[in-house]
Amino acid sequence: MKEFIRPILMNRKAFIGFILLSIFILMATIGPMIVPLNLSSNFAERYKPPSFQHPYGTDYFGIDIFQQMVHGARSVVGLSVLASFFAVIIGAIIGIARGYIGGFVSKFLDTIITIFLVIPSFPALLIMAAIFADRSLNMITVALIIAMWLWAPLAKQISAQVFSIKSREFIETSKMLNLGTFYILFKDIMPLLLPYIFINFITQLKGAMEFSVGLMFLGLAKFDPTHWGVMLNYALYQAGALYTPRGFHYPIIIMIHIVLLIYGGILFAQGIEEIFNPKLRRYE
Amino acid sequence: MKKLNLILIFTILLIISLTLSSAQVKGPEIRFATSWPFPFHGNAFGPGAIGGAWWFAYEPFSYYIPATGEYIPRLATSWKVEGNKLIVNLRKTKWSDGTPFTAKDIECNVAFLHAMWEWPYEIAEVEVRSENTVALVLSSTHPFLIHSLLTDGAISTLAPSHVYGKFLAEAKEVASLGRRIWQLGVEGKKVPEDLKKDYEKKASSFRAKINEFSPIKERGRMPVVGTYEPVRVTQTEMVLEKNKNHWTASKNRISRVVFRRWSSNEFVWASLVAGEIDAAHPSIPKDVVDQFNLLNPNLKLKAVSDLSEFALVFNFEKPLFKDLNLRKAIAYALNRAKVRDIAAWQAKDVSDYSHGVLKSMEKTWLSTDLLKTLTNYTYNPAKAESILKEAGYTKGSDGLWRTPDGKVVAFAVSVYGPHSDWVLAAREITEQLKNFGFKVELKIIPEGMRDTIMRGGDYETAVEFGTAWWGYPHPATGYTRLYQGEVVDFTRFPAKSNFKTPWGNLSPYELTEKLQEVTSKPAEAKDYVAKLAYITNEYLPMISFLEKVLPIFYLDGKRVVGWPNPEDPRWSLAPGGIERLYVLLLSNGELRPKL
Repeated sequence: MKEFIRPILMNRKAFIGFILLSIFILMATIGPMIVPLNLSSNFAERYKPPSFQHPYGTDYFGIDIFQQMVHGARSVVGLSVLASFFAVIIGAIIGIARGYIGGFVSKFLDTIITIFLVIPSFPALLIMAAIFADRSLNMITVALIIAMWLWAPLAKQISAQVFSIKSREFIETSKMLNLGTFYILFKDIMPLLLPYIFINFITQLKGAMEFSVGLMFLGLAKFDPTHWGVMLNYALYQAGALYTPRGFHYPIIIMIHIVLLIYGGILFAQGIEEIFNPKLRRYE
Repeated sequence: MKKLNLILIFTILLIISLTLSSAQVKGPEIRFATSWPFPFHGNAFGPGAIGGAWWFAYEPFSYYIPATGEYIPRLATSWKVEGNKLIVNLRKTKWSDGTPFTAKDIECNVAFLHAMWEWPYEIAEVEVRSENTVALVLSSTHPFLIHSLLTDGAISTLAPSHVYGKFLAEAKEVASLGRRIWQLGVEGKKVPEDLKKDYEKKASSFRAKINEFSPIKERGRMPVVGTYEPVRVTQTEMVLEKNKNHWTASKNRISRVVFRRWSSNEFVWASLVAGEIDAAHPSIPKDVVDQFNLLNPNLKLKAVSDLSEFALVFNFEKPLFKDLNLRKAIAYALNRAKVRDIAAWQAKDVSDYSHGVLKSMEKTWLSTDLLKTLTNYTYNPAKAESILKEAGYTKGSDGLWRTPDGKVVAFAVSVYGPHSDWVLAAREITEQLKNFGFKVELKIIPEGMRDTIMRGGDYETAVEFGTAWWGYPHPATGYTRLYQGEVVDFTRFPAKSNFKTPWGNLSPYELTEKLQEVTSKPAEAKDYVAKLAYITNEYLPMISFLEKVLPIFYLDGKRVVGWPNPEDPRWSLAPGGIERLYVLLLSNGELRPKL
């Protein structure tokens, strides 16, 4: 554990990112247990400015924004992590297979990767929204749908790395020792790719979050009024909060949270990359 | 000397260019926001038709003012029903290119409507009696049909005979085949396969040809009989110029109508407050309106009834909603005033009933004595609880209601995503029902999927239009929608079954049919309306929660003046075609340039 924590504490980017992400993870996990959620509207109480009673003020419905942000963190963070995780798993498996196996299978996988790289994701999501419109999709299904549009770049990059690794001496040695494909893939190759996969997992969080917001707008993901994307949609398009000074705080607070979460993820990923890749460490 | 010459030439050029540019200054204009197809083809039957220019370019026989019941003659100067014929005397006028408008244009237009839109087949024949008299031979003289023929903007002038005449023979052939098939269907007879195939082949080839036809491309303009002709259409702006041949041209004082593209509500909000457009009807939150009034005191608001209600409709194929007790409990558990505040703050007072008559028309159609016999669903959670308890429902320690057989009362409220006011209402309803103890979730129906999901029955409850009196503003229109039209298609409410009432066992479907026949006899109509109101309120095929209003924002004094006072009944012309109101005010010279 010490070996994991120490480099993070030593790296400024990783440390700040870690702190930011930890705050949001705590918000998503413990927050809802501490902060009660009351979604009953009170039109007379709309657009109250931040105060002790309402730390972030109230929204167009007269509902406390802080309570919603805390409860919405669960679906925002949860969905993004799951989607990113699935994207990394799919990307890694297909990337390794494409890079290692070769021949027809490799060409076939390459075609699939290319197809997913060139399909424009937004129109495709619109079509999927129409296909799945009458079904209740749970968080895992939605995360898988998001992951479908995120895995391809990673697969392409990993396959390129596997190409270069598989011709190294230690792989040849394993082959001569008849250690089997499974051993070579998971004992020889995979450990070398893990840091890279982990960094990708973090950077994918941003894409996953953007996608999840889009899916909420499209009605594909389960409607959650506290999801930050939905809240932002209400603030900008239903309530027109940017057109009235009374309501400025409503969208701005949501935007700040989204920016900080994504920024935290990026900082952490950059920091981790610097830790794993000494060439990137400016201070050494 | 050379220098002096140069200065002289430059000065002359400057004067000429200034003179030319001042000559190009167009006359007074009014600006609105709308949408239109681009490239613009000028063909009502083509993709996207002519967008928001519809009521400016085309004319119906008359306008109908719902608030007074008055018909204002437009293209028809008078009309009468004789036997099975609607005889219309047409105004002596000309198309914008100078060609006289005659009864032959109506004949051509009806053939195109039949061939392109398979409607209105109730017109069996068009008799051209003289240049300005036409008789529509009808298969029915139902008041609904007569009203629709007199007021629908499509009946008379979409296909000018001198523009579309070259296709007329083909249109008539397709129309005749289509009408034969329709007639066989009405008579309950089987349509021969060869007739069907022949029709489909000829109709699809004809429609493909007409869809591609562009008067603008072929003639360089789109001859219209309406008040304004589209003259310049780009992706962002559509400019219409006054039709100098229109019978009101001498009174009309605004020479140009400029449309900006209605790309989003926010664009329209900003355009209104900046004075870039003169009128629009976007939904605007209360605080935004307050802010706009501060920024632009000329901005006025007139809210008129949209002649429709928002309602929570039930899917009667789901066993849960077959239980009247549950539907009644939901009606009592909903705080409709709160829903109104959130979803449509300009909306009129919410009704405590759900009888299918618009709140604004309640006094006209329903007596106080009748209302006393109806259940009043004023917000009352305690009453809702007692109804459920009496019916065997129980509330668990988790705070959730359970059916008599022990299942948690769980359902989804579906709502069409692009209708933002519906989404707000659905969100509020969901929260209120959750607080009451039902397990409710909100489901958004994606854009373009509303019909598929609602008609397919893939929902449990949904926010929808309940009663709506569009077209012919009469309770019969609303009940037709509820028991024979879209709402019953969505809900599968057993409208043909008999329901117990103080007048005996009655079927809402049959009552609606009888009501349709007596719409022109108010006393008889009221009797049927009372019975239908009773069934609707007591058996709750839907729970209406607010009467929708159309908020019309207009700038008085920026470019134009002369908007009618708020009490003017002509505002009620707006639902179903707000441009008709603008056209009426422009063509009689009321809306005039600010001096």
